[in-house]
Amino acid sequence: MIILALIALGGIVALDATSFGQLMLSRPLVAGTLAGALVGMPLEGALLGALLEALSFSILPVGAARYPEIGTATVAAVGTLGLSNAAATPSALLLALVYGIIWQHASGISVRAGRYFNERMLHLEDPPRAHMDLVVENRHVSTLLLDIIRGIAVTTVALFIGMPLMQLLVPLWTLPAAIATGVIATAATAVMAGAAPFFCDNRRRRMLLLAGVVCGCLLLVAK
Amino acid sequence: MTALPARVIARMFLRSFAIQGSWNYRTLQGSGFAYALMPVLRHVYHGDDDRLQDAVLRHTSLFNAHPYLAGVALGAVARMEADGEDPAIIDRFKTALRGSLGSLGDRIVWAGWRPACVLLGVNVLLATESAGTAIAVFLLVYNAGHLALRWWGLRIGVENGKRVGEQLRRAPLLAWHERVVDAIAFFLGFALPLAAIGSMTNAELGAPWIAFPAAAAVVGYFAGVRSRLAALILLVIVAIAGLLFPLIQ
Repeated sequence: MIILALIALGGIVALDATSFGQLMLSRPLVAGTLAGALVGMPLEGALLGALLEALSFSILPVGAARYPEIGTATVAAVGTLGLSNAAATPSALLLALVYGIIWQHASGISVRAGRYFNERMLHLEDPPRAHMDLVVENRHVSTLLLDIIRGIAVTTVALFIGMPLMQLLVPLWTLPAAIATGVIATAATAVMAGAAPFFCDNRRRRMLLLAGVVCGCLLLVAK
Repeated sequence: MTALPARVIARMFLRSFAIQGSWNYRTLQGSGFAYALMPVLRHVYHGDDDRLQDAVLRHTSLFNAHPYLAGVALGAVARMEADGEDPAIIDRFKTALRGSLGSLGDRIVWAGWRPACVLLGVNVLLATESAGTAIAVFLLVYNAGHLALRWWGLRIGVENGKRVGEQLRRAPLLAWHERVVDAIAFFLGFALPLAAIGSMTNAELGAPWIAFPAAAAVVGYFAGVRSRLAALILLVIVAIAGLLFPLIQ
């Protein structure tokens, strides 16, 4: 039942990413939390989502450029971790994170294939001019349904590959947990800091960045 | 000139959420534009099937805009169709508008509002450790701006028709965007120390280990977006090294 719910979530997330709504249910933070809630680990799901969010922070979609699909990959990574019954240790999170990173590129390929498929479907043959309006509507709705099916298929494959993989690999990862925590923190911090020059393009914004760092440090001290 | 009833505009607004449904590399949003405009075309050309089919065919041609601002073009074209404007002028108008709606939307939403809201959500998560609060804050704040932008765009389009460009120029979108980017700078700074101590793994790094993320922040700042590839390679290498470690032992 949980796996079916995860697969359905994958379909919804894929649809939200581009085809319908763009309400940001497909952002890793949201998709990770929802997938985490389904497998009984919402906080870990949200953290994994936040990590994938941080690692994709410097990707800014512009125009018709091609990007990895991060939403279904987040559902796959969190779902795989939860369904494998592995404890959400930093090392398990690292492996799930790497799986999510790899899967977002595989999923991105399916998005591009879907767009070529849309092109062929929309221009299959010249519709009879008398029913042009109905043909345009039907083909458009069909492409929406196909995008849900694509999301479902991608999530299903990702879960069925990832679950046994995670069950096999998590026990094999024997380095200290501090190494996993350290490398994740290092990667996330580097990517987020790498986006700073893009946003902090004048002195005032660099001061705001610094003020944010000070406030973040104060929060850590207070905790 | 035909009046556009509120129910027709409401249907066009709802359909505009699916404008990218049939996105493809030949006509981009073209077919989606015709799909979203269909309630208006059926209302305007009610009882004249030939002109309806002509209009549908015209609007399936190449079009692309930021999905949240496509409503500006949809609304303006709806008004022009209802006013009986020459089809050639409507086509030229769409061509002229699509580039600016794309670049404006990319700038104020994808490179402004969205990263600001994402960082707000991530900061709430790391500060409160409450996943529910984090996504509620993110979704509510983000979509308040998102839905307001969509509705505003469609409304000014319908009200102004081919003069919508003047309204777009007068709108304070870029001034707001500057304030949003200020917020991004602060939120990004706030997230860095939280990420550096390992909060995103639900664990905390010991004092000597923090030196690595601290150094990575400095290197990342100067490397810019190139740091992403290096970070991904580092993650993959360490993940593989951890798996090979027992074999080496």
